[in-house]
Amino acid sequence: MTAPLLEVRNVSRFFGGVKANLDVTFDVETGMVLGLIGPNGAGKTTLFNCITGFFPPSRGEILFEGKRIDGLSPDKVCRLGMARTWQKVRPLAKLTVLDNAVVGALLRTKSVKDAREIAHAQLKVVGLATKDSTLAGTLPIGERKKLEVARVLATQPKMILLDEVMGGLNARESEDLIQLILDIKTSGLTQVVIEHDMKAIVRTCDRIVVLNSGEKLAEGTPQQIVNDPRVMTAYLGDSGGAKA
Amino acid sequence: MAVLMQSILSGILIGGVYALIGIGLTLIFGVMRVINFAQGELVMVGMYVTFFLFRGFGIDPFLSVVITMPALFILGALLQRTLINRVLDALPQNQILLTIGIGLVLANTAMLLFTSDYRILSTSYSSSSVSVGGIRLSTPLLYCFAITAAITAALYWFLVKTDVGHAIRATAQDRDAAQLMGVSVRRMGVLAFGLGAGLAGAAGASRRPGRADVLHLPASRRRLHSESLRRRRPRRDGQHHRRDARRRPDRHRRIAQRLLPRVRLEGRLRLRHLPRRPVAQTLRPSRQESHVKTALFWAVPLIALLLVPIWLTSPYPLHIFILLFIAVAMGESWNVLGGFAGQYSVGHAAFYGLGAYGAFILLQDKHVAPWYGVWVAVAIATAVALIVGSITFRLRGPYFVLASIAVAEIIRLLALNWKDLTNGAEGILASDLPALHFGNRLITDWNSKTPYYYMALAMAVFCIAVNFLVQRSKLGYYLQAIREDQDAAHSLGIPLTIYKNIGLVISAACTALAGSFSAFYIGFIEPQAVFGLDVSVQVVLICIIGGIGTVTGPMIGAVVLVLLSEALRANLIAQGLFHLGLPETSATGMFLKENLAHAHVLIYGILVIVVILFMPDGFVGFFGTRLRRRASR
Repeated sequence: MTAPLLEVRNVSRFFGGVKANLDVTFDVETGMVLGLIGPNGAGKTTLFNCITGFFPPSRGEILFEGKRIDGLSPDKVCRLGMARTWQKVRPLAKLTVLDNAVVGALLRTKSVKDAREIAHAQLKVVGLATKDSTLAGTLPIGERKKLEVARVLATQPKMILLDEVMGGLNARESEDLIQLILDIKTSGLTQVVIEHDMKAIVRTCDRIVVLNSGEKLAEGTPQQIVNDPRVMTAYLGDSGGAKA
Repeated sequence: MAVLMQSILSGILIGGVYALIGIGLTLIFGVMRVINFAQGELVMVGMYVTFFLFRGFGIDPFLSVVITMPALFILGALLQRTLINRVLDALPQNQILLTIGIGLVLANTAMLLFTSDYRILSTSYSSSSVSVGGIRLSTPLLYCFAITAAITAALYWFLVKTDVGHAIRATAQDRDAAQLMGVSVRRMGVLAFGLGAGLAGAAGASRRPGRADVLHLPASRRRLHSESLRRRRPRRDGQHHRRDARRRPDRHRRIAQRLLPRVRLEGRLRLRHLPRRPVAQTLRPSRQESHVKTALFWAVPLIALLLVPIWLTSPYPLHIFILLFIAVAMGESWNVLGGFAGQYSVGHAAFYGLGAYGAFILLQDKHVAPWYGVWVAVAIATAVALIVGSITFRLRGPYFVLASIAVAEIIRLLALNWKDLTNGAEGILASDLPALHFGNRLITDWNSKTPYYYMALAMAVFCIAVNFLVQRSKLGYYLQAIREDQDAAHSLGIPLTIYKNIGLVISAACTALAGSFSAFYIGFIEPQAVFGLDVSVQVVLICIIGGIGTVTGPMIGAVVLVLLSEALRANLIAQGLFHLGLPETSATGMFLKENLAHAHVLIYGILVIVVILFMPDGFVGFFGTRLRRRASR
């Protein structure tokens, strides 16, 4: 078996006295979709930030293709082939949808013309090709989320990290995105997804890591996780039964 | 030892006044996240109110705090309700520009009404002092400190003990949460701005009515300047040229004097990303549009401009064209960094001045001809830009604005004090330019405006071309991505600092070029005229008025600003009003005729306010959207 694409080893991140992540360890194999779940405040987004270089982990190591990447700046991490979306979408509001994706595509090419072609192809993948000359700031939330994905795909990554791409979407829009994740999976691209919707997680993920209060609570196949009593308690105990 | 104690104590006492101004500033910033650049002007208003209360009614300056504070409170509250409130959700940079505009208006109104002369206020105790253990402290300063301490204590009590105080502090902590708790955030904003202004007023009122207190107002260095002008050699081009040279530095000084106190800031500042309103602004021609059409669109006016000097030979119109080209070049240069990358530098005077001084000093001391020296100067500016960039680009939003101002000020002070190199405040007068030869052929001996015209045109076209190229390249995309969202840009693999620095370097180099040229054109430089804050502000204005982040914007902005200032200078506006039937001999008529020519800075101020409030995307954005809307109808 080949080495995992991404290895997270004993990663901890502290903010002052707050332990946002504590000793988190897991691997992501090439081609798989890994789900990262946990109640609000479990440290999922912090972990994403550590992995993608937005803040270095306080302790621990992160390896991508066997090389240490912890402490690298976000642009370097992205150049190595790991791109992330944002839970709170960050469209480049005054640029058109196409230009948003072009910015991503320019990572691998100097030519704006080539970048346009790559960008256009990725917009087709997410289903935004017809909106390419709309200003990104005017898109509705569902399409903004898709744009995030298109932009990330345009950087031609080896792995993408999706931070709650379905958050705040209605059932039909969520279905679109589930389909999108499955399509991307078919194309062979490795994905790590943070998601709250268990149904979506179970349908898309090969493996799930559950975080709670910054620590890894459980890891396993969707089936194992769904039947794990600890996961139940964590969710019900911490968020009072409300699905966030 | 006694001297040390003396200095320390005096320092503490004077510090009390600054603390008062600072508290006002933090209060405003805390509650509304708006950095009030007009705070210094509010202090000035406070001083004037105090002065006239003393003059007119004989009210003691310290007693008048009771009137000054409420008066300024009302003024502040009004400013907040009518102007500031409208930009609370806008970009922090726009808020800063709005308050700069307010400051310009306040200061220049004061100057029109009261002239730029010093007003001296002396009371019976003005020069008295008390002696404590061998240390002499001036009585007014002591009173002043007592009053500021009392006001600060009262404010503290108000903020900590009263319900309204709680509400203000809640708003400062979290606007949304405060609103949900039933606090009227709008009213708190008005209150905070009023209080901030009131404190500024109190500071103005109590500010050291010591040794014949001087109102710190505009043009305090006017005398000095007129001396330096007397030394000026008469220019070949006669009247127009001289008139321009005289006015320019003078205007520079006047604005700058007023802007300076604004840079003092206190308090803990926190950055907050305000939501941006996406506005249709993409003016880039769509891919499908033929390049031929675009080329034609630009070629026709260019050819027309190339022909202008053939049938236009009188110096004045050519002079206006040259000013216009310089303004275009400066605006386009700034646009690379401020427009595309969204890094609002209000310190571009640094590069402008480095270009001017670099080339001037090389010509004067080393006899390097300007057309070589300019490139050395540009290289120097580039190097400085890299150093500055690596330091200031750690900062974002309003902090970057402040840092850029600080850098320009540091360089200005350096130029002012490094007398061996720069001749200090007296400035440098250009010696005659050596004639330009190409091979054995004489190209020009610089005796008319025509060579300047073509050089300025070439420079403007060059800067426009740079913008075009940037906009269409990877660099342009990356800079715009940085403008829109730095974190998103970072996550898409853009090394922020590198690209910001590239933008800065291009921008600084072009600005230095424009600075060199305009210095040689005017023939005289001194620190304030080329490094002054008003130079930086003017550059930003060109872009703001025209439309930031577009190639056409700075051109339009330059046309508007240059024509407006020339119209004012030539008193065209007053004459226009007389034509429209305003009696020339009426009091208003006389007043306008007398003063409008000096009011261009006031008009700039008003223009900034109007543009920020009603067309934050400048003329291009404003009319562009309108045209498109009409077209789609």
